[in-house]
Amino acid sequence: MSRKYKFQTLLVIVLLATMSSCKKSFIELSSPTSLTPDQALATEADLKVALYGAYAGMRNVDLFGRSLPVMGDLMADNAYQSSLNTNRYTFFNDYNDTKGATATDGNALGMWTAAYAVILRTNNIINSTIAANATVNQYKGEAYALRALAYFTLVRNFAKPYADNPDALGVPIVTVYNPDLKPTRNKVSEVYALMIADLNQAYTLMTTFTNSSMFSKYAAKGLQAKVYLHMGDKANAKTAALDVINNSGFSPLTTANHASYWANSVVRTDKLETLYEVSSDAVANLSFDAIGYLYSQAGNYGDILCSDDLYALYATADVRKALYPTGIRAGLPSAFINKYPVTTGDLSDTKVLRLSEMYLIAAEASLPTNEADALTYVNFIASRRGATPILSSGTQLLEDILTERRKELAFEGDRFHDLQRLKRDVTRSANYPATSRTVPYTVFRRILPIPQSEIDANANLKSQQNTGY
Amino acid sequence: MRKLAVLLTCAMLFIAQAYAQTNRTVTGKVTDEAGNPLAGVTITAAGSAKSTVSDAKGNYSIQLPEKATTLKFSFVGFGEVDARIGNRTSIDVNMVSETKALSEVVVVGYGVQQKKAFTGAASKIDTKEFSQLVTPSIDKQLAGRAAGVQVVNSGGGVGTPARIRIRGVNSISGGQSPLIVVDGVPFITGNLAATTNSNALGDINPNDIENIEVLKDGSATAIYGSRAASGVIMITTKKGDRSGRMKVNYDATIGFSSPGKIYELLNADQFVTIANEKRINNGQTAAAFASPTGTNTDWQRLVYNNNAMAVQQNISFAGGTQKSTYFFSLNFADQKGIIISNSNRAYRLRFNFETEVNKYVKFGNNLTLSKQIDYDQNNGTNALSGSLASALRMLPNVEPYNSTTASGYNLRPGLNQVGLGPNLISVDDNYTNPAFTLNENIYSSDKIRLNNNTFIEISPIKGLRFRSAFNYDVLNDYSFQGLDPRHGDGFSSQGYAYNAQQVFDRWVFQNYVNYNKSFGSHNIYLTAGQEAQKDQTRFVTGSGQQISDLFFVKNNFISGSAVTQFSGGGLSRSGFQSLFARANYDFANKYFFQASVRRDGQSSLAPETRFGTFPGFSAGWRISQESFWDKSPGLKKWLSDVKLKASYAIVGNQLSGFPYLSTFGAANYGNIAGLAPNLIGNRSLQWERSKKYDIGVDVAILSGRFNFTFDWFMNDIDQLVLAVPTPPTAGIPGNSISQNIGTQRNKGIEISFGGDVIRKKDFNWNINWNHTNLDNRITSLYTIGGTPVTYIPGSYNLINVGSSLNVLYGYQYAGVNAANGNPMYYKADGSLVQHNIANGAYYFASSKNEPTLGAQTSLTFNDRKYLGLSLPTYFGSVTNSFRYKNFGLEFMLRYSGGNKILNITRQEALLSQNFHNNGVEILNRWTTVGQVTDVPRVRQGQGNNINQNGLAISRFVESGDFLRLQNVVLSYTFDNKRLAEKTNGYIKNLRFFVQGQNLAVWTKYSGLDPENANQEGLDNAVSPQLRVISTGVNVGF
Repeated sequence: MSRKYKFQTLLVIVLLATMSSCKKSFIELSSPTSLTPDQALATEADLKVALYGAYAGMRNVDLFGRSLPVMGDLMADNAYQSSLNTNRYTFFNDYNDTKGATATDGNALGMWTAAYAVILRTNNIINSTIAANATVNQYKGEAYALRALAYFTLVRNFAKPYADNPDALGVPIVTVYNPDLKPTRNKVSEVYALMIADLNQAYTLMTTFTNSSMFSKYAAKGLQAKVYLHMGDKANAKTAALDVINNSGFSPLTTANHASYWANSVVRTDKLETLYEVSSDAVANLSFDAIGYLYSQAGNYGDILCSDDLYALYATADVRKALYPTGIRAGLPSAFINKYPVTTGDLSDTKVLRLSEMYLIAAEASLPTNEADALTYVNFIASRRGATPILSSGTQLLEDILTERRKELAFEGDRFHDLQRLKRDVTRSANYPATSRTVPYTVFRRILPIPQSEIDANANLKSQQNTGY
Repeated sequence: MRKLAVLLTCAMLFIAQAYAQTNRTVTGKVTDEAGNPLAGVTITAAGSAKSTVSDAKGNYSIQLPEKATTLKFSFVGFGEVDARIGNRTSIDVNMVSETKALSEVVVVGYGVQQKKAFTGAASKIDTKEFSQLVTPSIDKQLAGRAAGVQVVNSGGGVGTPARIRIRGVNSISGGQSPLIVVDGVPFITGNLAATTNSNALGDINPNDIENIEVLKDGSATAIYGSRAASGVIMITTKKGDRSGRMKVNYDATIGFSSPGKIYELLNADQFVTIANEKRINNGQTAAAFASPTGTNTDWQRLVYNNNAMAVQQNISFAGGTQKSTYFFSLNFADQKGIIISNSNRAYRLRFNFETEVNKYVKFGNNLTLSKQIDYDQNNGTNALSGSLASALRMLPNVEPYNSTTASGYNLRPGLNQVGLGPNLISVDDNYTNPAFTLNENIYSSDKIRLNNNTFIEISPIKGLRFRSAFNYDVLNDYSFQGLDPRHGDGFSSQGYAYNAQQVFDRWVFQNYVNYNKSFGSHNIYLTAGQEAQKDQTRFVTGSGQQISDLFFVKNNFISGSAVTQFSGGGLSRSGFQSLFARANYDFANKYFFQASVRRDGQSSLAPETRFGTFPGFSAGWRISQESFWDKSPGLKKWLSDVKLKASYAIVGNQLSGFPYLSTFGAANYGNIAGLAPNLIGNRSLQWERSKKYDIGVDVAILSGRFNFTFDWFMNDIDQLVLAVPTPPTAGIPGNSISQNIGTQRNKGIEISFGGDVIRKKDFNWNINWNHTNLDNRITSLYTIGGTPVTYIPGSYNLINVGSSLNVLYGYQYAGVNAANGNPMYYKADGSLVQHNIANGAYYFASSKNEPTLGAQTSLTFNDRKYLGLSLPTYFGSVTNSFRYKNFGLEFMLRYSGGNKILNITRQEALLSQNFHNNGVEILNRWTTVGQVTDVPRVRQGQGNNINQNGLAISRFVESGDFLRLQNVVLSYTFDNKRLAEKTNGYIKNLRFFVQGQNLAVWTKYSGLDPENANQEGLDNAVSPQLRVISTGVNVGF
């Protein structure tokens, strides 16, 4: 090899070496569209966006986005599935052996998964080590309230009611993130204890009211009233409800503003009625899976209708009757559900806690000892709806309060859980399939199955499936 | 004086003689492969300094030194020719251009190898065979071209990329498509537009492609390391030659496409009968009535274009001088799809240029500019406005148009429904009027692509070449979707306009050396270098709902035209960094060895796991070079070249995104940005790993008149990335964490055989056959809590250990109960059950003519059976080419089979139990007691009970075997000499042709086309395949 060639060869080698010694940082990219945990929860501002993320989780289609308000009435006697339908929620309309939920049910899995996703999001905030101050406390308080709501959802749907047996299997309590955890089901009473504790924390930590789409001090107290009612702890339920009624500064619905209240889909800042709702707006929404599409008859699904017996309960002068326009579906005269009327733009929100319910809780919790209070509180609602005042007493008074509750909270996902906590049979109108017009309290499908995916991945739950599945 | 004269004469004679002996003169002519004279060819007498150059007419003359025995002809761009002189004084030489010579080499990663020395498995695809076919991109024509390469075009969409699988499906959850490399650089491919199907490979003009090489086995692909698990396709584009003459080629094609097959649906009268029968069986009253005007709408006719035109014009200029070559081409292609709204239009430019700066340095640049415009439609198989989904269900007694309405279409005012026509109700489920949606809604994308590759090659010493190349590739997609508010998908949003702009960016920097050296019988060839690649994809979207005026849904989203406006965007990035090396050694062209290694670093993996090393080895033995072979004249004559080869390599399948990171993503709430965990990562994630084995033999028979290749292969794949379930209580997004845990195996054989059966002056018959047998098997999945999971169920399929991927799984149909019309099934224990249509419950039945319902029972998951493989187990093709004088005829038959297809179109649309139109099969439904038929009684709304919608049942599982007449090309080529005479040499060549594509399919499959099934073996309302008839001309100047 001549000297010249040697030089040229050397040159090539040097060139090659220079070019291949590319910087290592070249492939050390990080994800440009999502943040890692240390980036995501590092500061007070991070806690805030994480909190919004937790709120967004509540809008999941199988939580307050659609399934909870739908199933809570469909499994009871308020809402039924039209024969002209898109096959959504059929199992919960029929719930018999041929058409009923099994352990692999998609809605049950969706609800379970979404609730635990919210729990993870709230745990991340609650367990954050960022130094406490009023703002951080507010965020943590809201997270506590959200976590309580998630557990309340789980325990009401996947476990026997507290009133049946507080020692029955509840749902697994998870308060820290650990992917290797294979939890077993805690007792129902333990889940309730956690919710009460969380709500006490929330009540203590929170100081500000932002708007109706966020938890506030008194929204947390309102949820606690409802939790106590489910526990049968009437004294505490009444105390909590009255705390909201007397101290929250929220103003009640009246016959005058009732129609505009339900037509409105914008988040409220005026402290009118809504203690907490799950917001859907023009941008962040479920689109075709939003609850309004399932009820709307204007070119949308329109599957679910208002049962004839509920419709008959509304007196002509009752302003609530206007929420149920009538028409023809599948060739039959039907009452439609118009509590979620806005299906384009800023979609209708899902009400979770309203001031009216606080009056109804206070009324029910006053019984049987204080009928006078019960009448006062229930008629506070009845008189503001154009309904006939309630004058009864004794057991009839309880029935009347429950009926008023049914009329007021219809299609907000509460009816079925009222019947559960009271261990009552579901007696349905002729709108429902003949084979499922009476659903005794003992029917196993009134409690949702622990999702098979959970059992498959968590052997500790194998022996803890709900009876029947 | 006389003496002197004699002496002088003698001396002169002597001198002349001596001169003749020592300085002979050889003359001759040098031509290229087409017979054109080559000017500037250097002719050297081997072993001396004597040389000359051919003149403009290709003639040369050289005086030879005494000992010269060979003449060396060299010309850049052409393969060197050595000619033995012997006693000749005139030597004419025909030189073959290097691009032509590609047939003698294999294009491998970062270099080429002599075919005889290649010990891997690769298939060369000669694109000349099909570059004139009507096609928007080359991938759509690769089916049947090479053994082991399965190419499926599902449906007739012109913008939809083909599904290419090399040696089987090599991943479960990851990428399954091969790496596509164009002129040495990984090319951005895929279905990349935001609102339409659009094929990024369509940016390569099929006419510009010189050669396609498919690298299949481990040793051939290992140089591509972590991206090689699904094989590599190497595309080489054309170059000019150095003949000094510019060659101009003009090609034009015009063609017409029509649907290969359409469904046979009920006419209006039949529909009225069936629809009312469904309702009456359900206790309802009749709702369908014959139209008083005799309306009988063929809705499919409104969707399909039976004469969809395709035109293509291509002009190329190629040439060069001694130092430089260029290839420049312009292309325009416009192809209409068979669905009226579907089309692809492309404008493509290529400029390939290279030049020798000096003896040591070569510089070049390849530029591609392309613009593709695609139009598409809602192709959703379950979408209410899906073009086929709606056309199949529309009621035939209803008119599509109504001149009395404002829109001109038959629509119900205020509702998102088709007008009633003579019926009492509209079509069920609000399926929309396809005449409206296809004409009024717009799905378009407009893409511009620039791909530029600049390279420099330095060859300081003989045999050593250093190449540095920088490639920049950018693809800009501007997509639009406009949904008309009056009907269809835009109705509920009161008009919808959406724009998306995506920019795909890639740069690749390569530096490598090739070195070859021979000493004695030892030949070595070394390659080593480095490659870096960076990708970035950005997009931004803007859209509006509640559009103020129809005008604003037709062209582009306009600010302020919508009540609700949305915007969005995103970004992804990835980086690659690699070192690679390859060494080839052969001894006496007899024993061959290759070893290669690549080390890849990839941004999507955790820092501690992101580097991986991928080795490959192969060896070959040209047994025909052994002396015993030579000694047997029979062997030598019949099997003129036999090479045995074996290879083994470990290659990878790359992961995308950042699966090792636990990340938070957007979770907005109440107009406020929120964040929530969106992925729990796994830091130990690695590439999927494929161990590839290959054993094969290449045989040339009768001096290469026939060629035969056989390969046995096995891809033993492990570290498959699977989403391993986690307890939902952990709150992990998707309830799973990815792990490298599954294993599967692809093994099979490939056979290729081809050659000239008849080789006469005026008649030539060439036949080519390739065949592949393929066996895919999942060998393990994951474990949960120590228990191995043996299957992952889907709605219709199982991913099952011991079966091939996505085996169809469902209930065994037993026919119709003749006594009551209920469908019947077999349970796992063989007992017969009937599915009572009225209430959806299952009851035992003693026979297939059992009027009473037995004890109630159920069909459970355990009653399901394997109903067939969704992946074909064999495929291949036979191509016959005939040439008689100036006529050419070529036809290709392609076959595939061993798989089954679940015909969901039949299950859910053609036999729909709703107020929809049906296929003619429903006319065989059970109606009377005792009737023996396969189609159960009809009943409005009971599709789930009658057809088991959403589940696989054997009733709808059909054979996927087929034989297809893929193409026929008939051509006439004018005689070059006569053409030159007639045109004064201006027209060099001229060829006319007529072509047919997909002219016939022989299959038992009852759907539109067996290749419409997806990889899960499901066929649901996919558009028909194109049948194309075309004609065209090629002219060379």
